[in-house]
Amino acid sequence: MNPIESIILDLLETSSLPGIYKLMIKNLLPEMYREQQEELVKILFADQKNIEEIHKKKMAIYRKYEPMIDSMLESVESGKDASLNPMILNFVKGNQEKKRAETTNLKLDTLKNILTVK
Amino acid sequence: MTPKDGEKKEIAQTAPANPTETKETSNKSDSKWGPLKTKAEKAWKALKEGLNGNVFDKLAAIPNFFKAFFDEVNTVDTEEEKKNKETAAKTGAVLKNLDSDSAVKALAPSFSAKDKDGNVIEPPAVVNDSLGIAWSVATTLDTDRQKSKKATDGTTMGVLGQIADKADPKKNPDKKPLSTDEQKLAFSYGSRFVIALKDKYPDKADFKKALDDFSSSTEGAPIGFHTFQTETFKGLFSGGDKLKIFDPILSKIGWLDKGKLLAGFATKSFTSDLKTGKIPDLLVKTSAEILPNTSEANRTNLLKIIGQILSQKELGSTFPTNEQLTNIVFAVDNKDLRKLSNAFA
Repeated sequence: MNPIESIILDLLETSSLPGIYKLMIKNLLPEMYREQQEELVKILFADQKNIEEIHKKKMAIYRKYEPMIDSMLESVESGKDASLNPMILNFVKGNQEKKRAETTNLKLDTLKNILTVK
Repeated sequence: MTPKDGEKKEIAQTAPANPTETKETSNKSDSKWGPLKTKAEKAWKALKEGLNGNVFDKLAAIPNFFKAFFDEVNTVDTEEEKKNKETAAKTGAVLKNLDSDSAVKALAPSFSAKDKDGNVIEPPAVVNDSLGIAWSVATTLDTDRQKSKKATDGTTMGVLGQIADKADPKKNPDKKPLSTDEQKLAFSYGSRFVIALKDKYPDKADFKKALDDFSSSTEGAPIGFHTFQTETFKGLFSGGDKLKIFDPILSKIGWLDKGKLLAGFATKSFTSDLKTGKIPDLLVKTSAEILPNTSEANRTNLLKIIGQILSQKELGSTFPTNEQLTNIVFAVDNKDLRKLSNAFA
């Protein structure tokens, strides 16, 4: 097995590829042309990078929301009013302020553009 | 500043009505991702019932929170889906260059059973023939869709690979249905596959025997006819936008008949007629516009078989028999199958 083939096999298991493709690549790898193998390595490396990026984004959402969802479920289970949960109220207020700031910035940018054109 | 009642209602309406409709993720998803969504769905379900009467929720905090959460989740899931599709398409473009003999060699082990000593039982010729046909139909469809600018090189192959994953209960434990585009492609591919199989077995009795041999020899194999008889496979066509999926067919019918047809299916009157062996005149009439090269006798026969399959379904037999499949395949003219394949492509 040449080094490219062993790289492909290593990357294949954790790749996002459909099962049928994994099976085909695994069984046909030694018969593939060098160019095909090189192309597959490129694709699989890019795939790993995508998987890592998506994983990071998912973890960021997980860390942001998990404590709040847990806290809300606790409120539900203990019969408390979840809408008065301080974590949720803070989150919503923060979100609204962020949106307001974004809208203001957008309006300012539009105004700036108009003035620049004039 | 708090939102007025009208605004609050609007926020509540924009919050996810059914969080389970969030986009699918690949099986490779992080182990924390699925449970987080499930937990959020559980919390949203428990809380949304009490929202309307909640006078304290001036900020519409709960709907706002869940809207923000599910928006972020959907954004990441959509991005993941898009990237996986691109990866599958690029790989499809590489694999497309393999000849069908190589494809058969690579795929055959999954369609072969093993004896009690663990030795692979050589499958009958029909298995290898069908795999070769399945591969060459996929590559041809990919090239045709590429030429007609409906898809880029390898995309069709990639989507077909993803459809195969969704049909596998191990890879699709949540029984996620096919998307609208995936269903259309499955119909397009299926029609072409049937034409190619009919070319290989032009005699009706030979065709039926081929199906019998295929199903019996793959009974103990990882993949075979049994794959199409699972709850996962049945669920594949349960979702999607039916009007969009069947638009290539419905667009051939005049607006008045189309209205009647949709009403008949919505009220299930056609289904109950078909189940009892009655063939509604409208179905015979409109099927002529969909299958113009198929004779009225064959179209009527086709509708009768569909009626049989629908009644069998109620008795627990959810998959057509090999005899019914053969009759369906031979009832429809190849020219019509070709047109259907192109229309769905």
